[in-house]
Amino acid sequence: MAGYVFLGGALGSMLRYLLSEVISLNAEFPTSELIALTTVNLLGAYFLGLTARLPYFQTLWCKWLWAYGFAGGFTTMSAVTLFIDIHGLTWEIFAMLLAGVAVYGAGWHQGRRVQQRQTVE
Amino acid sequence: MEPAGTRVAGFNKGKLLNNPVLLTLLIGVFGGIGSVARVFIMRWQGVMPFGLFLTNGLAALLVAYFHAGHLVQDYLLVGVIGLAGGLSTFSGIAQAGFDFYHRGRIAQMLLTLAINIVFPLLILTLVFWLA
Repeated sequence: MAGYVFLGGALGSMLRYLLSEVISLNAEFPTSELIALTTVNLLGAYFLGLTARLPYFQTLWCKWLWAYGFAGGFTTMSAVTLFIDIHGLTWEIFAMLLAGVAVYGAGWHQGRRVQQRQTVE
Repeated sequence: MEPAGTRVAGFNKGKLLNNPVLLTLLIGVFGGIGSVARVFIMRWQGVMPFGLFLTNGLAALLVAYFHAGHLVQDYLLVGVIGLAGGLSTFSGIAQAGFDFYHRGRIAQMLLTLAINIVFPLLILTLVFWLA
């Protein structure tokens, strides 16, 4: 189990680092950090929502690798905390949190729809 | 022929990680370690997702500790983006929030979101203040 989680977390962390590096090339510092954090966190939350109900992810090793490892390692809260500490608690942070819940819900419902379609057929 | 550029002896001294591929791989290794630790800590579930608060708090503690110390830029990246980034999670917050929302527990959802902001921030401020 720990091996799958390790692999997923390593993949997610590397992808997050590369994504934030690419985004930081295209914008100034505080904006780039915010864009990178929002992109990474919302993508990760949506992906975790998908893994919750999509039939492909229902095996145990897929859960470990993609849900616990990849989606968890891909998203970050420590950078958000550091961002709040430097730039203050702005409305963007609250928007990101609520959007994260909404996006997770979108992925969850999408996965459930696929699951229901497969059980009907 | 004389070595030129980065091949000059002593050029890379003190900058062990100036190879970007190696840096990315090391971030991956530490992110994996953080992820395994997160999965074990997040088993602590109660009325509220206490394990989630604890992982995010621990990650904030690590970030503050690394920033307060005197680490070289690259090691700081490995510690903060790799270890603390793999340990903390945003998707877990979204999951816990949506689970509460789906069961009609709006107050618990908002409380989860609020605690996940306030608790790590408190630890971060405390460590910065102590250091």
